[in-house]
Amino acid sequence: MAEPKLSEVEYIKANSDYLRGTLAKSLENPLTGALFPEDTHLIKFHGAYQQTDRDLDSERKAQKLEPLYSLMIRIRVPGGVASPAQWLRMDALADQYGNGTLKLTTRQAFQLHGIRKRHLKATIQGFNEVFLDSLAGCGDVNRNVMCSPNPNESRVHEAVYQVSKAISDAFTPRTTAYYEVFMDGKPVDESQPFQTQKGASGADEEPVYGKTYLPRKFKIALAVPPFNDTDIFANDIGLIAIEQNGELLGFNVAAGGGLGMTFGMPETFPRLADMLGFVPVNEVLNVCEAIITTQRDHGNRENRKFSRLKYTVERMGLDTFKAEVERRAGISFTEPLPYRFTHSGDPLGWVKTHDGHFNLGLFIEGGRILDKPGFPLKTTLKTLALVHDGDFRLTGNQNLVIGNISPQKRPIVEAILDKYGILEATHKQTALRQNSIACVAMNTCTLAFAEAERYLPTLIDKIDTIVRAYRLDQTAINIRMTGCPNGCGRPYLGEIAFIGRSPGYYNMYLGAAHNGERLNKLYKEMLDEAGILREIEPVLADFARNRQHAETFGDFVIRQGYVKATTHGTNFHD
Amino acid sequence: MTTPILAPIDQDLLQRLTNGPTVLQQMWLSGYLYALASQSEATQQPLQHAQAPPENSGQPLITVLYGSQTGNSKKAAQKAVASLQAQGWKTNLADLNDYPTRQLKTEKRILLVVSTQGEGEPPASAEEFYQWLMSNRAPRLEGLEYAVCALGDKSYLKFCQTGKDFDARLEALGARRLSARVDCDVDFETPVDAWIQQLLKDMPAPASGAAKSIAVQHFGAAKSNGHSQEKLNQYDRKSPFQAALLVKTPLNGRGSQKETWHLEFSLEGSGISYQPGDALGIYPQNPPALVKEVLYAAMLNGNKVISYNGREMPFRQILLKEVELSVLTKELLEKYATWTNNARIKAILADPAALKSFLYRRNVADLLREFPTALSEETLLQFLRKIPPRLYSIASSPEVYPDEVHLTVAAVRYLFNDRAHVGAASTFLADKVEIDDRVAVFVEQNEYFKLPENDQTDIIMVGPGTGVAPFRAFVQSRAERGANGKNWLFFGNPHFETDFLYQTEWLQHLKQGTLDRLDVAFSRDQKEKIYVQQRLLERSKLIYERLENGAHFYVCGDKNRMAADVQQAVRQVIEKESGKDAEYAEAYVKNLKKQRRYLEDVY
Repeated sequence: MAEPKLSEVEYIKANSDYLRGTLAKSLENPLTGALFPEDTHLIKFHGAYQQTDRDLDSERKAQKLEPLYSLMIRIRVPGGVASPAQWLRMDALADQYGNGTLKLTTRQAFQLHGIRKRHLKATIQGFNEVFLDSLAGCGDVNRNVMCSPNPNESRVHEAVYQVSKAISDAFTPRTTAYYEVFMDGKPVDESQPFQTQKGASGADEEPVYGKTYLPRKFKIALAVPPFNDTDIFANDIGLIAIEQNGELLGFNVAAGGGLGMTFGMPETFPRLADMLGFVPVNEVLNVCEAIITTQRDHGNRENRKFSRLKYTVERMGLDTFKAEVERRAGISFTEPLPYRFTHSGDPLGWVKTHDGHFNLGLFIEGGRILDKPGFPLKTTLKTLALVHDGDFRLTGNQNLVIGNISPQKRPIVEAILDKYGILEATHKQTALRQNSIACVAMNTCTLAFAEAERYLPTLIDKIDTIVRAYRLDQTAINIRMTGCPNGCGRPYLGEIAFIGRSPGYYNMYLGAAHNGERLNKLYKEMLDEAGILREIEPVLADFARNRQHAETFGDFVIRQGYVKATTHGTNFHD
Repeated sequence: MTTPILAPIDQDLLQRLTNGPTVLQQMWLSGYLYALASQSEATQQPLQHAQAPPENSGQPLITVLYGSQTGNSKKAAQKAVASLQAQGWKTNLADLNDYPTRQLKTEKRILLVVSTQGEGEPPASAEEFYQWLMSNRAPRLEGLEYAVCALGDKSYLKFCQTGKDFDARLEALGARRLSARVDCDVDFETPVDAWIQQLLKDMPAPASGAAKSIAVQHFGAAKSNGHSQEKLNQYDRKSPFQAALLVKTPLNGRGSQKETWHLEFSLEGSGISYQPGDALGIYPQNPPALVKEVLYAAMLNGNKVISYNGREMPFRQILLKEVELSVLTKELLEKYATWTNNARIKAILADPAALKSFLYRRNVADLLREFPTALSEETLLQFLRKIPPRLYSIASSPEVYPDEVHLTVAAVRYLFNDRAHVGAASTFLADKVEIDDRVAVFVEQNEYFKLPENDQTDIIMVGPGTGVAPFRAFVQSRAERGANGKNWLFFGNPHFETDFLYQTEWLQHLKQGTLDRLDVAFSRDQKEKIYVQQRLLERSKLIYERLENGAHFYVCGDKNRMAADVQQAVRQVIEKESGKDAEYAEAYVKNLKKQRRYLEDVY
């Protein structure tokens, strides 16, 4: 049999000298805002995507100017916890080099948009000074590790957060290319115990990944029941914390989740992670490494559309896959321990923590931190960061928790937020809007077919009218919109979801579980706004009249037969 | 040698040629036809070399010297030669660039045609001669007779200064003026004709019979670099072609402080030919807002019908289309001072610094507002000069875009005394002219600012801002011809993202190798301002290498600061890389200019 032809990216990785490629030269070239084509793949491993301002593409072509290239940088925040100093720095960098906004992502990371190539190094150096990095923000490696953002709610939460940081550290790439290319060879503060380092031989080594890294992106999330606010089943590895008498016992391990698919290719599908079994805390790193290396060695490297772990599990069969993981880890999974998830949203408003402090959950529409006329969200949060003695926590639903507010500071935090009605803005929303997620899409994402973040708020304005008319405004329904089917806004877990097909047109999906344990299903295709409103109103009306006690919208549409339940990724298209 | 007149010729044509024109035109025509005939017999003679004075000629030889920047003075000199020859004079045409200074002492009669650059300087080709003549090394010239024709532009303060200097200096050295100097504005053809006519009157006719053995200097088509334009364009400054606008796109991205337009005109059916390096003359209309301001400021009636150049027109139309309003000249101010008898204007006129500062950025409406006076429509018109065409370096190569001509135009808009002021031509193109509209245009040859004759020769082009225009034509032309010489461009503007004029085209040329190098300086993208001259210094080694290897060096764009800074940078490059001193570098650049390898198209 002939040697299989690997995908182009595999060769680029192999020849990149541990992700260096020609990035240094790309950054220096003053004639274009773009990187050399091969470097556009490598820059992802360092946390950045090359994008263009798509609103201006055709205009600039007529102006005989190249597209307005810029970079989106994803800054890792393991577990989503950032200090006020880090918040202030991100706020400043957004103004200095970005488009003046910060995006809180669905993976609890910061995103800066609109960074020019010539400012990339200064930007990265800027957040490196506050001990943040973008290494492995994107690319075929383990990305930002997600963890329930309320670590101080209980001692278990805190222990789980520590595990998430340990996982993040363990699977951060070891290549020194990041520091070499972006920081002229050195971390700014050499006293920090940086994970990246050369091997014993003095050359770069990647003990876990190897020089071609993983076949595709890899995602890990941890959750503490009953909150599934990190949507763990959408991840390659989902870890469900199991508590006993207030102590963290271990984790139920699920694997093989992933949401992306391609329109017109039914052999691609979103898939939730399968349960492998329980492992005690001290085996969790070991098990994660075994899953990662199994994917490293068995994942598809010929066609990137089938490279995610979910297809590896499908191809190997769950039992074979599980046996391989157990062999590599030298353990045996035991039966998963009982747990129950109630929802996947965030607790908004004030929450008192186990040590007498306060967390304040703020709804951030689209995860976008910016100043709008009459609603200076960005400036207010910056002001707050100047006095706040706790932390800032990015949630997996693009929201923000002002964490660990001391009782002494709570009055000033309230005063600052009240001045411009920031907290009120959270409370006055319908539960539908509070549970909305939108990916970035236009105008910067190269993949988007249609609007998402820029459009969902106005669409919800209109759906809100319906929701209020039927007195459903306090009923939490997960609603999600993405500009393409790749899944950044986890649309397949929306009880109502819209996925962009072409400008102004969306496929509409219904029926995901409110707690993130069941995918949704296609309800109608190619709807414009009038079509969306026409289709959604009777279903909401029916729900208002005929829902059973505590029945969620996702369960209701299945019981009423609007869509069939998707019981597994493989029957998503049925 | 056969006489062309014996060849079969259309009687009608002959009639038209002999009946219509003035005597002067007939004289011109005879020289011209003779020249064409000589040319067709492939007896082309080198034009630019001074011939040794003939021995034993029965009449004095007239040496016609020209110092030309764009070729206009050369054209005028050629015209004089043709006219003199038609009258039977023996002539010798020479470029001041090649004229040995010591020869001046042996001359009996010279005619000097010279242009003036910017702040009153001679053109590069006349620089050496000028400095020599002005210095104490210049000999006494008692035996010499001379006449000067000065070319210039009245919108510059030191209008025709070089010609004035020569005229005064020759007189001071004892030479005898044959005929009064004539100072020509941009529309130079008519005053040049007048100068020649007067000259012919002022000189006794030459000995008879001489006309038969004259050495003919052909007039007309500029010949340079092997790409000669054999036929004269039918359309010219006097009779422009009405070219339709095909394409009009802004070149600056959103948020730019600049406003640069790319314009494509159709030349279809005109027969107009041009070469990269040439300029396109545009006859603009004045901005309607400025016309209104003038009417209001002087309280004049725009509807009043007035006879202007033999045509009856509403005054408003005359202001709109016929006269210069957006720029003040010294001449206008003088006339206005006389009319108003205003002591303050006279004081300004008496103080060169005050005059310069007053003329800067003011237009006719400013003058009328600041020094109000009662005057009639007709009186105002007496003060105003005919609106001159504006010249733009052509941004396209005819090899790539036959029947088209492209321009790169920066709209000039500024606030002065709290009022909006605009450049007439640039905003005429930016604001008024739309697709399919027709604009009066003509090609103005730029004799020297041309690609090297040899396609193997490397070129270095420095064209910040709209100065990049001719280099778009250069690179297109060299790419189309498959010229092997390396093309190296230096470009600069405020911002990379919005002001990188023709970025996608340059990137394409780089990819295809038709542009060898591109160095850019975006002045406002970092704390310290960076200009092209800094890039030149950074690349000194390679620049010197290429210059040593025969490269031609071109500069286009802003004259006042950029061109001087670039020249300074080149001198530094040479000083550094040659390991010699500043004096050597100075001489090196001078020599480059003399060899026409350091060429400027600056404004």
